[in-house]
Amino acid sequence: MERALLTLSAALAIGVSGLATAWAQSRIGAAGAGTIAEKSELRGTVIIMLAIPETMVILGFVVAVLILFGG
Amino acid sequence: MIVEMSKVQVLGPRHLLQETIQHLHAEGVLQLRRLSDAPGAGPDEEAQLKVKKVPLARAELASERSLEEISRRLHDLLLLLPVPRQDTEEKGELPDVTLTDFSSHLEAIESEIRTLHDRRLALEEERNLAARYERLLTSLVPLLTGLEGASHLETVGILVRRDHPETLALLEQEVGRVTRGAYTMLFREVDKREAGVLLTVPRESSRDLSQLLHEQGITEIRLPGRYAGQPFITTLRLILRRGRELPDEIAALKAELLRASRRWYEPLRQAHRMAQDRLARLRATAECGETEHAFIIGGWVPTARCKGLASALEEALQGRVTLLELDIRPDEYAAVPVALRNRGVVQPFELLLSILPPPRYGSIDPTPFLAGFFPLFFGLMLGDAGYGGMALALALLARAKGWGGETGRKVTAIAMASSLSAIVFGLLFGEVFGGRGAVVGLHPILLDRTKAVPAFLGLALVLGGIHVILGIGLGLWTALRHGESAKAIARLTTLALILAAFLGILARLAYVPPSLGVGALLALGPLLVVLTAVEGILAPLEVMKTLGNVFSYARLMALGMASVMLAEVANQMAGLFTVGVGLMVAILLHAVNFAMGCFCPVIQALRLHYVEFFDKFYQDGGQPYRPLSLAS
Repeated sequence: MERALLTLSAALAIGVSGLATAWAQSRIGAAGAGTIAEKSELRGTVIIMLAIPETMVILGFVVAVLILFGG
Repeated sequence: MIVEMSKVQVLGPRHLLQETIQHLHAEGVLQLRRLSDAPGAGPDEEAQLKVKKVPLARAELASERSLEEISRRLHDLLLLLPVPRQDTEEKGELPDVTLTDFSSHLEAIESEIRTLHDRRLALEEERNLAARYERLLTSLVPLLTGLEGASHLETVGILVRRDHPETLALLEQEVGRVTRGAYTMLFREVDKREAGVLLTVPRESSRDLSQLLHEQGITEIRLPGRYAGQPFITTLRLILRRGRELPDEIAALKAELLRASRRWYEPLRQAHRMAQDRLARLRATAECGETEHAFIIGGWVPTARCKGLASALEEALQGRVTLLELDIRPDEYAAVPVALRNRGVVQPFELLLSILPPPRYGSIDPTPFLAGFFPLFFGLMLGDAGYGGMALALALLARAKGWGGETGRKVTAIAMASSLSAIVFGLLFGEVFGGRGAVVGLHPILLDRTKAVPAFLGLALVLGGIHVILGIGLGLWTALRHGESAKAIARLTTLALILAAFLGILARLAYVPPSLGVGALLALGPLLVVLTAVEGILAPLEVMKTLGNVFSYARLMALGMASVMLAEVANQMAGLFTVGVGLMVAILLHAVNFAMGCFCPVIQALRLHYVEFFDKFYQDGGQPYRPLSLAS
């Protein structure tokens, strides 16, 4: 039972943070595509903006690894 | 590294301005500086009175407009011509672009080439039309032969979308209604999206049919204007016959266009470059300053080329023109053009920087760091000698074939460095196409990525820590170099905070004595106070962001583990089938994993540099160095 709860917690940690990242990137990506279409010189900034929410899922992944292997 | 620039001023007697510009143009090393930036043309009224911008005479303004027009026409014309591969003896001749009769000469050539080009386009359109309807025509025309010449009947062709099959039934119902059942309807697929429909109705119903089609927004098949007035069926037959004649006509026209190109492409290209050069010189003139007797040209020159340029001017103009080298003030750095110069294996990595605005003059060129860390991160993520070998083979093949020209050469150099790194890490992890390394006697030396998850995570975070600390260190060095003491203290305090946090973690993991860990934790408080005092209330948040940056490097481990697991899945799937099928499945899955393994690490390694690393020291906003140089 404890193992099942740990696994579920790890799945939630990465799953929810993955969904959050996907939602944030979809919004930033759509706006970024429009920005690049109008001002292509801002593509570097757009890429950086688009990459920022990825940290959420990576932190979720670290938490999941710690849940599964940390104890 | 960023090429060191010199701020220069070229001075000479006014009547030598044009000659000097010509020499500077030919040397191709000076980037002009706008007059307002030039010393002596500052905001003080006296200086402004003494040095003023060189005004272009009315004739020169007219010449500029004319050259712009000619340059545009030449550019458009060159786009219409195929690039000739063979040379011909019968080269055309054109007068100088500045002469008044150039335009009339160009008009005659334009007319010849445009006529050929327009005719080719028309024939190609006709051929495409014929090809499009060929299936429809070949099946329907024999059926309609009996109708040809029947003056009491009218035939109309329309196109309907195939993804709405109900349209046809509705259309037939409506046509039946307006013609009271006196119609025939034949249809045939044209392509995947559309079907062609031929409707034959009594002539007296044709007006009602046209109105119905118009109301329903159904488009009749568009036929070339040359067939206007002919019965539809006759037109279709003619188009079909024409479709067989057209390829020969198009080939003949292409050959004629190529002949014209062999004759005119090179002279037109030369004329275009000459026009561009003349325009550049005219525009350069307008950027210069003059006094009653002298001219001043302000500009930027790479320091290493300064002496060469001064000697060239000295020699060409017999010492009547002087080149002065001036100091660059730190507040002028934003205006100084930036050129990067890196050597050997580092140089291709400039390509990875080109996606961002260039670094500001006086800041750090991060290309050498990219050249070191990018292959390292890529190798750590792919980490498989088999995949690395495949990537290396592809890179070598692309290089040997010369794919992609100069950019391709840079890409393959980066790919070679990265794939070599993947091979080295593959050997360290004991991986060749996943666990197949064991078959050839390879065993994990550093760690087993499938089992040592916490150790792999630790390795990724330690690398991240080193990378981020290096970034902060570079930021500290930049701040010290520019005399920004507050920024330097903030960077130093951040460094101390990170080191204290690391010491605390190491003490918790019993790698260092506990007393050292307690000391490090006690130091956190005063360090945070100093940081807040220097950087403001939000500074502690920045520290948290920096720690987040370090954790972001966990992706190195995440992608690496995903890569080896997918390779293992491919190997295990292969074992579920017979030898032949298993081999096919394994090749397919490894190919998918290889494609993903090459693509994802590139994106992630770049992201770690752009977001986590550059954020600590990179100062963008540099202007790319674009010297006044000849196009011809």
